[in-house]
Amino acid sequence: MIKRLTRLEVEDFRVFRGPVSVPLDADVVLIYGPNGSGKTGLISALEFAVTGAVEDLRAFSDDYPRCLGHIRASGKPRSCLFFESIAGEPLYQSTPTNGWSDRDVKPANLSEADRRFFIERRYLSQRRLGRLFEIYQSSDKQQPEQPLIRFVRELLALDLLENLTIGLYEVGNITRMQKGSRLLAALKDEEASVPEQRTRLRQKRDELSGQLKESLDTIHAILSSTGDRTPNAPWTSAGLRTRIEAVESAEQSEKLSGTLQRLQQSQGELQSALGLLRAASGAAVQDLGSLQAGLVATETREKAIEPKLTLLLQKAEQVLRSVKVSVPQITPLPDISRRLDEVEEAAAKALARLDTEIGLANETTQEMISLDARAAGLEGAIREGGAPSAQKSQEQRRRAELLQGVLDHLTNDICPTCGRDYSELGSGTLKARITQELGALGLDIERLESAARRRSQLEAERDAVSRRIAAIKERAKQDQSSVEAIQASRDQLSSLMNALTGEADSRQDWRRQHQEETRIRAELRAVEVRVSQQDKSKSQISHLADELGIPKETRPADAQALAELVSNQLRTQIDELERRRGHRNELLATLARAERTARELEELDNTTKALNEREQRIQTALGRVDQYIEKARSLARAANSAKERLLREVFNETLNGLWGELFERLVKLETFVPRLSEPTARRGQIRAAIQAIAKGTERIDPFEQAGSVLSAANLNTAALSLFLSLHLVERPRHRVLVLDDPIQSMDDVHVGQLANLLRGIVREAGRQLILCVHERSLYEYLCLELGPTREADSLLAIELIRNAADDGSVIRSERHAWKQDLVTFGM
Amino acid sequence: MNAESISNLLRSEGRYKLAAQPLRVQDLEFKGDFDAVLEGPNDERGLVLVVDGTALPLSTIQRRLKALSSALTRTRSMRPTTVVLITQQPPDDSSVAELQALSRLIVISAQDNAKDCLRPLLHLKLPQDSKLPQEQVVKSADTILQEELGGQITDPFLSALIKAARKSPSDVERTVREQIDRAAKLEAPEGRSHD
Repeated sequence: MIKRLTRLEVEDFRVFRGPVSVPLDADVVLIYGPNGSGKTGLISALEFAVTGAVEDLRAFSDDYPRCLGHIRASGKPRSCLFFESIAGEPLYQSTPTNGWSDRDVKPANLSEADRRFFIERRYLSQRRLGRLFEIYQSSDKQQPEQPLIRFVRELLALDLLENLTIGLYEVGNITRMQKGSRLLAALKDEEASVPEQRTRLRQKRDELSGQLKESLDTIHAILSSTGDRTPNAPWTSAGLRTRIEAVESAEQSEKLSGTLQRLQQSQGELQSALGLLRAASGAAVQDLGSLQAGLVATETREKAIEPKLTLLLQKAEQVLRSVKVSVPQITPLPDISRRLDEVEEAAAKALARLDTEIGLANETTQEMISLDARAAGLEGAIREGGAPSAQKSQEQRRRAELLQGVLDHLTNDICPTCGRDYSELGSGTLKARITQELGALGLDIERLESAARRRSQLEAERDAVSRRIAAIKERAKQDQSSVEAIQASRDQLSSLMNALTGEADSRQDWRRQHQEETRIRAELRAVEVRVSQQDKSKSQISHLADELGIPKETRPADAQALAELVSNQLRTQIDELERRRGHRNELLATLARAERTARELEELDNTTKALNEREQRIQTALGRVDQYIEKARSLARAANSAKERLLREVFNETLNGLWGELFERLVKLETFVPRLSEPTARRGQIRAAIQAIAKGTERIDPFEQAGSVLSAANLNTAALSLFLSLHLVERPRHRVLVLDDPIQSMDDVHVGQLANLLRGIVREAGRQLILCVHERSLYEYLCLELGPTREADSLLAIELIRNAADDGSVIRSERHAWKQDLVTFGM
Repeated sequence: MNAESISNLLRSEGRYKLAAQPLRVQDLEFKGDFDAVLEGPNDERGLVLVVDGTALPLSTIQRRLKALSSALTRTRSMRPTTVVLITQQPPDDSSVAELQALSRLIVISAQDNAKDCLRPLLHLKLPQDSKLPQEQVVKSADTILQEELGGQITDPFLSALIKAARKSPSDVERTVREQIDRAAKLEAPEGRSHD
């Protein structure tokens, strides 16, 4: 614990460049310097040496130590404080900035409590002074004591406790905590969902277990019905497969499937054979006889008609050859009726062609007659048109050219050829007359040329008709003999057609007989096939009976009866095989279902296990959370309790008495003095109000709010006096009081009163006072006011001076001590 | 109220000693200039001059005080001097200013409470002198908090909260939430990565 500071050594700290030693070994140390000369830097170095921190700077940033070094210094800043302890031994406290490893020592080893105490009760920093100014300058006239309360909170570090109380409000209630922590809320939700998940899993497990039991019961029932050949096999998947294989192996099953397939095929064949047998039985043989008889009768009738028709055919072919008509050999004989039809068709076509040729010849004759008449008409028209008029047309054209030549050279009405003056005639101008004459000549020329063109056309047409007539005449002369031959052929064909028509009934009769023969022959072939199939079916049925092992002596003679017997035997065997195969398939399907269910059960068990593990982890995490919440709650409770204790211990009647005393010394003309009320608990929060009581009265009820009766200036003084009261109220840990420029807006009276009070604190309470001021006159005044008044007193006046190079501040100190004067009393 | 009662009050509650008169500064004697002269408090050499101004004009008092002040200055005395002026009515401001230029001044009018006026000169009664036991120490908030928590705070979580509380409630709240979020994070089962 610090009794007296003796020296401060700083190096490259703030405005101090290089090592600077500051003497402090005096009752009062007055430090003066204009703004920016390093007063606060010096006090910060002192605080840094004692506590290892500069609270005012830490409020801005945690890495503030980098701001402590001199701006041009390369080394780390250092602050080393020498002091005497209350126990009497000289000590020092050295505090480097971070990373200053070689000197990172604190030989004095002040406890954290000692360091905090220095900050709270021994040092009025600029920031706290700023609070005082807030009080003084508070614009909130309604609640001027609020800055004072803030000052008190800061002075007592109540902010620490209140910040804890407010900041830990959330942990007081788990619902509030969940709103603040997303992960915790999610964890709680998940925890709440676990029972429901577990119920769902249990229900699913019951369902699957039921399904598995049902499958096993089914397998057991089937095995019981088929005969369990391996009763000792376990009721596991492998064991059940062993049991199923024992009933019927896969190989046996395959063989059984082959047999069943073959039997089913045989059954199909038997059904087919039986159908044929039924269809072909009975009538087939009888039909065969009647059909054969009908065939003979038909053939006989055909043969009776054939000679006549053959003769007709030969004759027709002869005629056709004679008229040069070829008949394609389409239908082979003996279908004579069809052949005759073809011959008749060919003859009819030839007859039609000949008729056409005869018609054409007649048309040529008619055309020639018409052309002759046309030619005569054209000749008449040419003659009517007269002689050719081309010459007359030429003459008229020449005349027009002459008149045109005259017109081009005409300048008046005097004719250039006859010399006559046409103006004298009174029948228009000469030019008009010539123009009229030219128009008449033009029409005449056009008419003459049109007549010439018409004549040329008529002559050309007459010539063409004449050529056509000559050509027709030439051809008619050549075809005259052919027309006669055509007519002869026509007559022959016409005769043939009549002969063919005459034998139409015979031809029709032969055709009917021939068609009947054809039909009978087809039916005969079908009946023969059926009889053959019937035989084959009987053979198949017999063969199946052999295969089924039906003894020959027990087989019925009737094929259908035998087929029925074979069919029944086949049905029985197939049913047996299908029953065995059905059992095996059902066993295998049920086993597969059981295995699937077992796998699902296994997965379900794994899911349940995972759920249990997760729940365990959730519980573990929630346990951790609870631990932290409980710690936080215990801290909140401790903070609240500490606040209550602090307020009760600090703000007792002793402090209130001292506070009132100091306040009155600083404020002479004030009726009220401040005091702190007894702390009360409300909603878990400890509160204490700054009240005001009437001075020198017995009034019991105080004013609940000091701001309602104290002026802002006096609230400011109340704050300063409270700090000094707190400083003085207990047995001192440190006998030093550090004030950083506290007098900034006081009038002379207040300054004098403060000086008087500080002198009392130094003299009466034995404190060492470190005081910074920024006004020279005040500095000089305080040198006198706080100066030595007895032999043991001392005062150090320290002046900070910025050097010329502005490279930092230097220290000039002067020690003041009591000097015996020449004052005497009495005779 | 007179010079004698003032002297007695300063002696009893201010720990001043009544000095024998006349007051001399070197070879200059101030006989009868002041109604009472006191020295103190305790062994200090401060001078308190009690003047009954009810029977003297202020100009006389000013003249006598000026003479003393000049003598002290001439002999380079460091003694602080306080004049206690007893008057019927408060003097005007200019007269007070003239006196204050020469010395500290306490004016006690007829209607004033003498003790209140003399308070700056009276002994500063400190609690530890009479009431507080020597072992009583008012503890700081940190210390009390530590005591409430049962000793030194070693738990990192609590240390972090207290560190945050030195800044703001929201820092405390954020520190709690971050720690709760870390605690609420599920640990990965063996052989698996974190959820």
